[in-house]
Amino acid sequence: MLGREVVAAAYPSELEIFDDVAAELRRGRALATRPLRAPVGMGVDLSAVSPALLAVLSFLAAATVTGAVEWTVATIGDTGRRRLAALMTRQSPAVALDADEESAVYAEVVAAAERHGLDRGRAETMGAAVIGALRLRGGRE
Amino acid sequence: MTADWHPLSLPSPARGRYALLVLVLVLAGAFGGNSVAAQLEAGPWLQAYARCAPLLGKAADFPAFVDCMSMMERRRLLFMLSGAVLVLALGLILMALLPCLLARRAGPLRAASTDWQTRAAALAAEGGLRRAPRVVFGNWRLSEAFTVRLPTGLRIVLPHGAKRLPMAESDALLRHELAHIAAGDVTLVWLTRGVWWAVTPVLLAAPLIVYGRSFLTALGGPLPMTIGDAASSLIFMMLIPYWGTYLARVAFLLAVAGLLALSVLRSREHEADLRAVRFVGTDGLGALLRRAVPGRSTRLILTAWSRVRALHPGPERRIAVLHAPGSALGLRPVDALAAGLLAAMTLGALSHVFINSRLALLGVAANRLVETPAALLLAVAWGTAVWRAAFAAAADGRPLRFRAALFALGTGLVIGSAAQIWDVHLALSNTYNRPAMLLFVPLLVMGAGGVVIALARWCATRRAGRPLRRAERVLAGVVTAAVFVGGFWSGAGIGLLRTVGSLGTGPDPLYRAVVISALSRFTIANAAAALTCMALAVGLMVLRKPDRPAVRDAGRTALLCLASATTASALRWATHGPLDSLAIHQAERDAWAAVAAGLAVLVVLVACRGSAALGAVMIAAPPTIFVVAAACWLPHLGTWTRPVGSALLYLNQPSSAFALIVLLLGLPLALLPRWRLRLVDGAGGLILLPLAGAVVAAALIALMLAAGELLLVPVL
Repeated sequence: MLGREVVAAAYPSELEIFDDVAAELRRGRALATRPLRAPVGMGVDLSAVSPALLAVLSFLAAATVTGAVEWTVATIGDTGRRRLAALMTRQSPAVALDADEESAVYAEVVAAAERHGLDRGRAETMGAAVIGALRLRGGRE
Repeated sequence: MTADWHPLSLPSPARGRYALLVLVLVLAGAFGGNSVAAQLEAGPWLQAYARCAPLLGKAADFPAFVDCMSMMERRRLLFMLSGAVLVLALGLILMALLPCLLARRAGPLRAASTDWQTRAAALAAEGGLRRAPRVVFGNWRLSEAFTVRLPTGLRIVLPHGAKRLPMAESDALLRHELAHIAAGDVTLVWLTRGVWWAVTPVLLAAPLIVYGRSFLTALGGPLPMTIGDAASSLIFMMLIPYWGTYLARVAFLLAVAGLLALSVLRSREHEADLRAVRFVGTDGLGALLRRAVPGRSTRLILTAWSRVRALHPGPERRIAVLHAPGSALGLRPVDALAAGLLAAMTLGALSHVFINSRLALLGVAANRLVETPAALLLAVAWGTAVWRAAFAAAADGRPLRFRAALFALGTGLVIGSAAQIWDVHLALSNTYNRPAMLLFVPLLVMGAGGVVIALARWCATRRAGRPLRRAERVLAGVVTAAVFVGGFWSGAGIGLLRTVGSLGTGPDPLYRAVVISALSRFTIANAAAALTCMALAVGLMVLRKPDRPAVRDAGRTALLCLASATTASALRWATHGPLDSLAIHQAERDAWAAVAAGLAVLVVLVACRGSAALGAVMIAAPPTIFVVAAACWLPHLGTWTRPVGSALLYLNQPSSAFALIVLLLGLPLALLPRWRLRLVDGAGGLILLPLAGAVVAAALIALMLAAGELLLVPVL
């Protein structure tokens, strides 16, 4: 699972909650929309990144595998969409994305992460982690 | 700021604020019980009143009336007690339950690794905690760290994002949570929340009983009851002035208590931040706070509203406070407003609980029973903040800003007296919302606040940043409590005299009320004790290790006192007539002569140093007054039939009158700027100060003689 690979590489401390988050996602519940804020909390948001990551990846998967979202064709073309789908679902032979396609995917992951409440810095870290995991699957690193 | 001294080592006002909030809400529970009693027992109570009311007729036999009503009043008191106990018990249950529910929502809680536990233990020891709490991680939804007390002990619950933090930031996070434990506010937060939730159903019980009765009556009627009927009868009930006012005041109380609880919650975050960086610098916590996303609205009103209802101060503000702690340890007007408001609500609530009971037979003492708890709580909730703010300002070498807070305190007292829930058409006995009370209680309590501020500033400046020892902190607390009790007793004493007292004939009744209060033991006898205690306590604190300039100042002030006392005594001897049937008036003139000497000290010192002199006045004036009083009492030693009683009168009356004057002038004196007249600093001061004291004392004695009977208590 791409999500586990990204977490293992970029957020290893969250591996122990990964299965709980994934199970929640499989149950079809919205992730990371209502974090639990304690009324006596410290006031600094230290949420786990995994829920936002899995929400972003599931959006990406839906967009590429089904082609239901416009940006895939508009920005990375139909070939790029097929390559991304193959990378995400581990179809062989997997072909790495080219630089333009990577940039487009990176930008979309960052934007989606921000939509899920992450600040710019954390969203960019997530984007880089996802691109890194895709490159590994494509055999580029 | 010296390395070993930190204003946070002085007691925090947070606990006092929580205690005041909890007391007001518990007393609101008593009001809920009283309202239920009014619905269930109205018939028998009115019958009893009709039977007993003739006793209040021409003979005005109040004790017999109280005896006659005692059974019904006992039942009413039982309802009130039940309401209060119910709120407290529910609050305590919720205090234990709410943290468990939160922990359950944040769970399953998993123990953190040994590394986290070891670090928490080391940091707990560094912060002076005897036992380290367990560190646990919550579920993936949890976004903020928090600390709770569970049946199994204290737990610091961390979100999983905390694992990503660099060591310095995660240590800062632990220190912040440990600071809450060290401050002792972990449980108090939940008690306040628990009591707030518990009081709501108790306050709604009475209207629900009325609505339920009308609903049941309608159900048993000839026509079928629809949802529309039920809703319209509810709206009809709300339109009845009694219930409309009732619900409006209840909503006001709950809103104010809720917003105040949030305000205390935010203050507590600042304190925890400052405690967390006390020994290690601000880098770690600063970096951690910079991770907080402000999420501010761009619209001004929404921004202000979100600030009021925010659980935490904004991250920028918190970082700013880390670098300038004085801004958070200063006197915030909102805190003063809250303290005044809650103290006034306590006053009115206790008045309703006690005054209609047999305690009313105690007369003025019953009022003292009502005023003392309110004063003590105000001393704890706001007086502690004054001392801490004064020492923080002195340690940073910046002026103490207090004017807005002082006025906010008075405003809070007025609003709290006027808008409390007890005054919903049942207010037969609450004298604390009468116009004279609304004027004098806030005025005198603000004066007391001004005196406490002056003493704290003077003490902090003279100590030059040296911390107070434990015994000295206790003394400061006693002094503060005594001054606030004096403020409440004196203000309520004048207000009560003006409202219900028979003041005889003369000029303005308000003026007569002040004069009678000044010379009446029953109104402000304690104020004299307060002044004495204040003088001794502050003297001990300040003069423990006096430096050379302090000794010189003390010498010049002693000469001033001596000159003022000698002049006043000599002039009084010269104008004293023989003791006759109105010896009490001679004693009153003697008292005013002693007051004149004390006022001479006050006038001269204030002229030389502005508001900075008020502390010195508190030390120097009482001995001056006692010397003159003794000088007036001694010549008649052979003629007193009760020498001890007369001695006590001579000790008490002038110091009481002086205390009242100081409390009346406390506000304007505190608002004066501070200056120093160089003319009296050198050798010239040794002549000029005593000379000025003698002249002022003589002028005041002349004024007293010219006033004739205006300054005497009328013989009724």
